[in-house]
Amino acid sequence: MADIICDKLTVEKSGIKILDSITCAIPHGEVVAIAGPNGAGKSTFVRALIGLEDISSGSADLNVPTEKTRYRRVDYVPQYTRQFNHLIPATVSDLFTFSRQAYPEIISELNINELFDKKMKNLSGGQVQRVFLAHAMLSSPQILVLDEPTAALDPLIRHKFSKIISDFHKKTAATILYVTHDIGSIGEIADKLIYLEEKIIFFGTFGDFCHSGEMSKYFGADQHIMCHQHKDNLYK
Amino acid sequence: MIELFSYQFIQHAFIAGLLVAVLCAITGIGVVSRNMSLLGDSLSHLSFGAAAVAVFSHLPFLVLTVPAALFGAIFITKFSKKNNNSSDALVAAISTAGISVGVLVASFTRNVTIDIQSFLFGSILTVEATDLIALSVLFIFVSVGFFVYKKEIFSVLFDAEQAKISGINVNVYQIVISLVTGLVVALSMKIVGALLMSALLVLPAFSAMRLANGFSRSVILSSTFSLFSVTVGMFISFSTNSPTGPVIALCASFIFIVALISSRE
Repeated sequence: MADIICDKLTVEKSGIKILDSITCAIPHGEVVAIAGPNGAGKSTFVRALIGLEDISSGSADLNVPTEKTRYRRVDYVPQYTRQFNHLIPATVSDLFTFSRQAYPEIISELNINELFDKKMKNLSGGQVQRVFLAHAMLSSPQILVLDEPTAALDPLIRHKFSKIISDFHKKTAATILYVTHDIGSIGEIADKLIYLEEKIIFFGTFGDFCHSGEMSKYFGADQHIMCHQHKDNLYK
Repeated sequence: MIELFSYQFIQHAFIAGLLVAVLCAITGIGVVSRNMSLLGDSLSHLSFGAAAVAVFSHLPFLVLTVPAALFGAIFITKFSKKNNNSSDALVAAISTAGISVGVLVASFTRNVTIDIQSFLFGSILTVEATDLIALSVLFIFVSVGFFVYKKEIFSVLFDAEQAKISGINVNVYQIVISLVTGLVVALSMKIVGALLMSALLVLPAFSAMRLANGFSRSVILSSTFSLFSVTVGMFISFSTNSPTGPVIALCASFIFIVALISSRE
């Protein structure tokens, strides 16, 4: 059973088509990377899936049963630091106190312990991104959506990111969608890749993408990419 | 001073003051954190207009002030959402219209000047048993509601987008917060007065949010500041025979200035 189903999903903003009739089904437990050039509609696509963008036509459905807690097990880490309310004097521990504690190891993996007593509004962009990443993974959502989650992270954490996501996926079997320009991390952690440019240009394994013509369109024809992957099932 | 508390009307006034203090402190967090500090002013001025019409029509004032405040709360919240929180013009228009209707109706109403003045500046010594019952019911509703739905309220106020993703109906929570604010304003107006309502609704919450470290602590600190303002204000007012509402408002303003100076952010 697919966790995410889109049927002719179309999103228009101010009369301009951002997404054009996207149809796809993402099975439960898959890690799917979403790549594409700037302005291709990647962020709009993931935001439309989780109900944060108005859909012009078609549909996007998440097959996530509502739990006893009444709330969906879906979480999202946005591209830029989310515009949370700076007037509320919330501390990092406030955010975690009110969250389901289903994957506590993420707190130490992302070095959140040292930030617990700090006010959210006093954190740097990278620290906020770490906190939101940890918060999203802590509750062990059934669907985790990450939009360029490493953009504001320091090199040390960025280096650990692929391992953190892989470990999380092994333990929780969550469906993970993540928008990225980091083609290297796609080879390491993604089962499949969606290459988007208003429409889905490619949807398949990273290996197939490497051998398709789309790769050179993305990086430029004069670039030579050496493709390999670390995930066992990629070249099946 | 202590012998004053042997009078029933002083006991009523004191209990009503404490209930209003906590009610305004809790709802104030929802008002200030949504950048709607003038919501309280606008609703109390609207309620003042409704109270004047009630006095003119010989109706119990809550019959008109409660619906007026609830209608104003929904209208401003909906308008504010549609117009990306730029609702200050609407808030100013409703405030002005409310006061104008009140003063105009009062000018046509003979021998009720004192009633109208008590709505404008508060008249804590005229609190009746029915006012206390209404305030107590609202106090239980707000306290229990806040305790049970603290996680959801925090989520909606702190990060509405995340709240929406996790399945919380953000619109419903925002409207309920505004409706509760409307009820608190309508019931508290008799205590602190329409012109001074913001003193209790905004100043303790704002001061607490400047100084507190953590959401729950800000609610506790806001309640402490509000209770302090009301208690000290009433004692000063009774001992100096001065009007209670303005003294309470000055106490809250003093805390606000201290919070502004002492917080480094």
